[in-house]
Amino acid sequence: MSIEIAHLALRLEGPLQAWGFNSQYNRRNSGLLPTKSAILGMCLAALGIPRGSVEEKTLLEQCTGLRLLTVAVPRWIKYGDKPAELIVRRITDYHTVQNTKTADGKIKDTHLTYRQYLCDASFACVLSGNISLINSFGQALENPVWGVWLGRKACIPTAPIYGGIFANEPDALLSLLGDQPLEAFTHQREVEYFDEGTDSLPDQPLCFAAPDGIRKFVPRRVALKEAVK
Amino acid sequence: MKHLELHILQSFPVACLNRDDLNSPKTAIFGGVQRARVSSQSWKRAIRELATEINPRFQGQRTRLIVEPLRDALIAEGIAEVDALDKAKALADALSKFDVDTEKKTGKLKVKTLFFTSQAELEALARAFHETGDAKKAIKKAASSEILKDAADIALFGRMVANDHSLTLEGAALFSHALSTHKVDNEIDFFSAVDDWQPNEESGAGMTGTLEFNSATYYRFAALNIDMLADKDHLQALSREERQEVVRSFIEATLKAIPGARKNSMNAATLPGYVLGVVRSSGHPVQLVNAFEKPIRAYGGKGLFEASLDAMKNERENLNSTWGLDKSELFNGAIPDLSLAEFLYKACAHVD
Repeated sequence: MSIEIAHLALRLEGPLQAWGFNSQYNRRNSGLLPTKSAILGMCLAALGIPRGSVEEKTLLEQCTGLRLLTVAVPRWIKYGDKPAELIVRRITDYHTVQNTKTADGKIKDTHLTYRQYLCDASFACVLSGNISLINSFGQALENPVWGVWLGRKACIPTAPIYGGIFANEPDALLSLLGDQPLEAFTHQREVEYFDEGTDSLPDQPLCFAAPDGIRKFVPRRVALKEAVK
Repeated sequence: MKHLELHILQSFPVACLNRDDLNSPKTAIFGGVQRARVSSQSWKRAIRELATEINPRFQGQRTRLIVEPLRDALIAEGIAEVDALDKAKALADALSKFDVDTEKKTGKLKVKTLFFTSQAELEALARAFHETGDAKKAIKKAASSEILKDAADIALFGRMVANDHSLTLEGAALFSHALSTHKVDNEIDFFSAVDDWQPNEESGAGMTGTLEFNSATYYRFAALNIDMLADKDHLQALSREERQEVVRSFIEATLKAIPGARKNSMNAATLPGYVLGVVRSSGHPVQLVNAFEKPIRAYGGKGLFEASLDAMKNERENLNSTWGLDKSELFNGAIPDLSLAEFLYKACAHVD
C-alpha cells in the first residue's frame, strides 16, 4: 500500500539559534544542525498541543514516520564587490539566576547556567511524510497558536519560517536553495536503514513531558554529508 | 494568532548593562563581527521589576519561601495548627520539592528551586488542598486563570515547574537578546582613586583598577501573543479593560526599563530613540535585526542611531514586499511620531 507523501519546506533564519541535544541541568548546548525534536516541538506548539497530553503522544508516534532533511545554508555578506562567507560560531551565554532569597533573608545564592547559541547560522529543512500530517503542520506554522522560535524562546526568526508544501523533495529544495544542488551544502538526511547512515542521534521524541515529567527520546539514524565545493 | 511586536532602537553611552562571568559586557557575533549584547533574561528582569512598580497586578514573586505562607493559608482555611505545617510541607514538596536537608541543618523551611507565584495563588492552592486532601489533585484543581488575577507577570513571562507540569505556563511574551546595530569592541577603563589623607610628600594613587564597558545603539525586540494572553491559562479571568491595562503597563515597562548593572557608577539611563509597534492578526513575530547584519556605520553626517533607523525602515519595507507581512497588519505606529500615551492607547485598542 502506498501512502501519499508531502514535503514541508522550512526556513530557519535568525542571528541566534540553539538546537540543544543531550542538554541537561545547568549546561545547555547547541548542535550545529537543527534537531528533529526541536522541529517537531515547534510543529506541535504551532498546533497548540499541550506538553504531556494524550494528543501529543499520539501525534509524536505518527511523527516517527516522518523524515527530516536539514541543510546548513551559508550566509554571505557583501563589502563593496567582495562577498564574504560568514563563519558560524558558537557563543556561550553565562546566565545567573539572582536574588535567590535564603531562609534568613540575608545570603543571596546565585544560580549559574550556561547556554550555547549559534551565531550567523541559517538552515533549510524539509520534513517529509504522510500528507495529512504535513499539511496540518504547514497550516499551523503559517499562523501558529503558540509561538515559533529557533530552539530557544529568545531566538526569534528574521523571516517567516514556513516555506511551502511540495509534492516532491527537489521542488522543496528548489524553493529553499534556488538552483544550487543539495551537494553544495553540508546536510544531514534521515535514513531508513542502519548501514545507510553515519550516526545515530537520540533525537526522535516520543513525548515532551509525560505525566510524571519525563521526556522520552529514541534514536534515529542519519547520514551527514559535507558540502562539495 | 494575533500578536503585538515592538521594535526598539536605543542608544546607550558608556555602560556595562549585562556582564558575563569575567565582568565584561556580554557580546555576540553577528554578521561576522562582534556586537554588544544584552541577554533577554537580563532585560526581562528589569522589565518585571519596573512593571511591579507601575501596576499592582504584577505581583508574581520568585521565591523558595513558600512553606510558611502555605501553612498560614491552610490555617486560614480551618486546618488545625498542629497539622498545618506537615500539610504545607507536603503541598510545597509537590510544587517544588521541599528541602529536607536545609530544614535539618538550619531549621529553615524552603523548597529546592525558585517558584514563581503570588499570594492569591498560594491561597488558592491551600484551599484546593483542603478540599481534595491530595497535593497532586489540588495543583490540578488550582491550575486555572482565576488564581493569576494578581500575577499578570506569570502570564506574560511564563513559569517552568519541573515537579508538576499542570502549573507550567508558557509566557505570552517573547524577547530577543538585544544586539548592537554596529561593531563593538569592549573598552577597558583604567581608574585610580586618590587617598585624601595621603601626606603631600608621598606620591601614588590610593588604589587602581580596571573595568570593562562599551557604548552601543541596540536593536531590541519584544512581542506579545495577544490571543494567548486572553486564554483560560493566562488572563481570561480579567476583563478586556483590565487586560488592556496589563498590556499598557507591559509596553511601558518594556520601553523604560534598563538592566541595573553598574547603575551607580555608569548610570547609562536613556530612553528608546525610536519604537515601532505593529499588531498583526496572524502569522508569527518576525524581528527586523537583519537590517544590521551588515554592521551600521555613521555616514554623511548621520550618526549610528540615524543610520540604524534608516536601515530598520528599509528592512521592514523589504520584509513587507517579500513576505507580505503588512497584509495582516491591524496597527502600526511609531514613537516619536506618536507620543507614548497615543502609542499605548492605539496599540492596546487591539487587546481583547
